Amino acid sequence: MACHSPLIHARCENLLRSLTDDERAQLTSFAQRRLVHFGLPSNRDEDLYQQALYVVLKGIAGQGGRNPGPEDLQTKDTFRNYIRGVINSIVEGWARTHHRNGHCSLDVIQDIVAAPEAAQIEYHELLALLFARLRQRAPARLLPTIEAWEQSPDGRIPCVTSRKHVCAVRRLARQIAQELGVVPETQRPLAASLMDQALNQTAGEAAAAGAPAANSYASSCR
Amino acid sequence: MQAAPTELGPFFAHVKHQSHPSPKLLDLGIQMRWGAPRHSARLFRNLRDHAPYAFGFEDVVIHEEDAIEDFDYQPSCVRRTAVGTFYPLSAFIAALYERRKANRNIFTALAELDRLLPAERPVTTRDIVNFCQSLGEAKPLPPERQADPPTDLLARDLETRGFRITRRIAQKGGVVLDIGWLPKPGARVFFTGILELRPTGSGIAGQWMPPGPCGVNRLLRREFEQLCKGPGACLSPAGRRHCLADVEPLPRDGNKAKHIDVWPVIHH
Repeated sequence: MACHSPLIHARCENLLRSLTDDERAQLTSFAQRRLVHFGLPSNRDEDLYQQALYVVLKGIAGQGGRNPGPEDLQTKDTFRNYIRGVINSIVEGWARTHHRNGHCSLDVIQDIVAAPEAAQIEYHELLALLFARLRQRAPARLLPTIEAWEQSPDGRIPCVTSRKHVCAVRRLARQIAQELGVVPETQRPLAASLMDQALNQTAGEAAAAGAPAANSYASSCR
Repeated sequence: MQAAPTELGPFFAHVKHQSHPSPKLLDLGIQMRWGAPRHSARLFRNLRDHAPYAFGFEDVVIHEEDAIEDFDYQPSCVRRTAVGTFYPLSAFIAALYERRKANRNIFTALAELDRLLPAERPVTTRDIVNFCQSLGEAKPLPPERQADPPTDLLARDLETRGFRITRRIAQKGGVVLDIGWLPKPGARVFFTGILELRPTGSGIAGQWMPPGPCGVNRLLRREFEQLCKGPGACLSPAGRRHCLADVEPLPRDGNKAKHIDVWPVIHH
């Protein structure tokens, strides 16, 4: 286990400062080869090298990052080898990919708000209910954002005061939308046709019952 | 009479700046619009922890609420903040094209984006020396003028389109070329891919180095492949001399990689 002793700190800083131009060039060239191996742009070699040095510095300062052990700081060679290991680890992280499920639960509301006027008549009651509840529950600081959202041409919540307010309105709207049965409890991909169908149902139910619909949207999507 | 297909974008335009969502994220004052009905997203600059002064296309991100498509991305380009997660724009644009939510010419779209984005600022050797000497405490150095990549090394069609070899790395039995696309001289280079070429008895075979980043480079690579028949046809005579002159072909059984002389056919 690495320790945060002042000796290790000082030794690591000395080694970093003592790297010659040739040694730096060798490490950059190593970074370049690793980038090429993963099909990543080779001109980010210096960026990769700098990130490796940054995480080592963070580590020895005790702010996360990478912690070299005493054996890594014995000689310049062991230190360079350690830096190579850090470069390798970072570049593998750069090459890793994740998948994002892009549909968020507020898309439905955004689409309704952005719908052309003729289409909005259909959802008029649902929208009125949503915004009335939003105004009722929201603190005064969120009211300008809610008002701007109602007028928004693309249905997105505009940032009129602060991004934090946008997030707060979004959270509250999602909660109310779930109560109204407009959006499912869990986020998952939605087919557009099902979305229209479900919204029609929800709008009808909400108008007829005058009470929150019981997740009719979610059930119609299943 | 058939109506002209609607242009779905993406289109980019300057908009009024807003407050920065987090100290590590700057609002770029640029909006992207796409699709029918129109969607829009604000663009932000993700500051690199290790080099906040550096900037590249890969640092442009959008908010999670705007990223309304399924897409693959690299988690290293993502920024998580108190106001939500920000995802790389490049991966999102690629997903828009793959799902046919965008149909504008990719070169026109990227050229427009290039005009609006701040100038590219890579990390250079000088920055690293500065970083090592000051242990990350020194102020960033002023940017250096980046030289344009050399011309006339790729086949004529590729060169005319704006593709360039931005770097050549010699390897045993072959050469690795970093291919990029730039909208005009002096503009930023959009990474296209790493192409590995190997001379064989019958010509030149090659392959793109997988996996590469998730993003517009995949779209650019497809355009590149449409402009030349195969890896062997992508170099000009001058390019062959420059890239392959000192490369010794490997003996047949020493070359285990599956290099090809025509691009693989990808069915969508």
